[in-house]
Amino acid sequence: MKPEVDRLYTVGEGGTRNFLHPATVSGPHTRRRRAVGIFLMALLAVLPFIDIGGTPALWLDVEHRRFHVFGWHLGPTDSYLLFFLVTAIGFSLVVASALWGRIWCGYACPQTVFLEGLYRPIERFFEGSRDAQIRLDKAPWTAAKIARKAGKLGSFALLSILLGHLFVAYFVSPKVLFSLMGQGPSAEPGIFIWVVCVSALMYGNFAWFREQLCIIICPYGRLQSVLSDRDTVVIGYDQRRGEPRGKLNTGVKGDCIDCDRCVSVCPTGIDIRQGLQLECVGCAACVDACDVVMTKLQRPTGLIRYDSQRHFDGEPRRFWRPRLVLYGAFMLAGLGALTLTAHAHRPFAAALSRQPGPPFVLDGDEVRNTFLLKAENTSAEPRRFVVKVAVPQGARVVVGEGEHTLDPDTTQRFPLVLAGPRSTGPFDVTVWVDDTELRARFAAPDR
Amino acid sequence: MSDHHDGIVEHDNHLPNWWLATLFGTIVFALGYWTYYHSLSVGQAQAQELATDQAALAKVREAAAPPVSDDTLLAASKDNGTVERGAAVYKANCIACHGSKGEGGVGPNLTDDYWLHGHKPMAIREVITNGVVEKGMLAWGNVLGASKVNDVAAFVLTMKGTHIEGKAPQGEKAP
Repeated sequence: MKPEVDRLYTVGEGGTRNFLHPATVSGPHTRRRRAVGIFLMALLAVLPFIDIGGTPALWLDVEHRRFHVFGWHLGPTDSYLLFFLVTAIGFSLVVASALWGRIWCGYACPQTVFLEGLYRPIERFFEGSRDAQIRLDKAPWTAAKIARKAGKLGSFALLSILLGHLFVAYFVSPKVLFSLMGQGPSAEPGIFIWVVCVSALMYGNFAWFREQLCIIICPYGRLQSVLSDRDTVVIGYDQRRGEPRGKLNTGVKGDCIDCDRCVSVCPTGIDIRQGLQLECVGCAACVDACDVVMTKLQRPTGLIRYDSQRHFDGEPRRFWRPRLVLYGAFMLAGLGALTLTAHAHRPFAAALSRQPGPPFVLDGDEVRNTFLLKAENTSAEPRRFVVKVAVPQGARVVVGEGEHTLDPDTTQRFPLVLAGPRSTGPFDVTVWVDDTELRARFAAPDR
Repeated sequence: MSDHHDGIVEHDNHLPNWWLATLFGTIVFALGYWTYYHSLSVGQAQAQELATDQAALAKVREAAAPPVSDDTLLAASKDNGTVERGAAVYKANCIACHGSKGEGGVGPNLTDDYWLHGHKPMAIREVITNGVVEKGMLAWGNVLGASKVNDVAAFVLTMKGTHIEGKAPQGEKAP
């Protein structure tokens, strides 16, 4: 069966699954992709174990509603930062898509990184090359086949359980996870079920589901057609150079010898020579595969390469386009908003307001005003702060000056009572909460 | 498989079986869910579950903080631990207006026999919790929390009748 543009190669005639056995490939793109993948996996594996001031570098503590991000301790009230983070990341991805197509899918998406970096190498270790895998699938169930399949699936299961634990470690911290692992499932059944479910999802996804996620479920691939244009650098086939294709020594003029290496290495089962397709995850395996063949034939490499559609069509390359400016502006706005809000973020805030009710109380010749100082501590530590009040000569601070301590994650209103002789009349009040300056007006009857 | 009509081609490719299985699976699940939770009401629906949990929470809260009455406050005013805690709260928040010994100042004298808003323990607690805004007494309920209010109310009861020289009596004489 050969890939066609009108139907999914991985879905058979009756809706059955057509499993892929991509051939191994080597070359500069594959090497670079592997290096990025190893770096990302290493990062994922060590982040929860890096200790920053007593908490893991990244700990999304959902149970206590507290996110620890590189020494930053964020509470539920800081979730607006998440909005700006998603905006910044989202628009950056949009810009990357307009520039280089689905570079994210090919290089950085966990689906690709784990599948190509861990699961497929294990599969090849137990079942051999592409041809051996196809033969094994067709072969009758012998003891040798059972052993190979069991070895592969058993390794997949172990790896998935490991990944399931790693995933949950991000939400409960490695310390808690290790202690729970020592105590057994009954200690915290909810977390145990999470580990089981995530491990099962990993296993099902990487042992069986694989490219179906990219092709059918993932929405990002669908956006490709609206985010990219003829100037986007994507993986493509140089039709003008390659066609007419034909086997070697048959007298055809094109450079493509129709060896189908580009098809056999494809992890989503497409033929890149049919043009850019929804299924293409931009992994560049076909680029490396074709370059190897072209080198052997002593023909120039790059018959399949990263290039823009416009350049493939023989027109000059173009970098600046309206969409790039627009997407770039969105990205800068998103990154700018994230930087500003993150920079302005404080785990402590204070505000001054009047007590509801009458603005002042008359007590003989003295006028009293009551204000409420609202202090908010969103950090995980108690917060001590000092309140100082400046009032004009003759007036005095009855209650409210001095040192206060605010418990973690709390908002409290501290009363501030000021008094002054009736003869002074209304005046301005300045309140300092540590270094924060707040202003209010002391109300009094007309003199 | 494809159909041609007036030059327009329609492809009718098979959906993946796993996709169809998911679709039919959700329909079966929905039927089961509806029967279990809504039709036969074997399981508790969200609103009922919330009501059950809230009832359980109310019980836990009641156990943690028994109901307060004149008698419990009076009893608390004879408990050294409570009075000590109440004295600390008083020192931190009340001294400015009511004086270090309750002799009064901006606020009324707490040590005499005269009371503006009732002399009963629960009345005192009420004044501390909700304040007397028009006279400048703050509502401390939200600032201190119920347990600290109870503590300081118990402490105020210990000052009752100590007759410290200070602000002149105000209000009605307590029996």
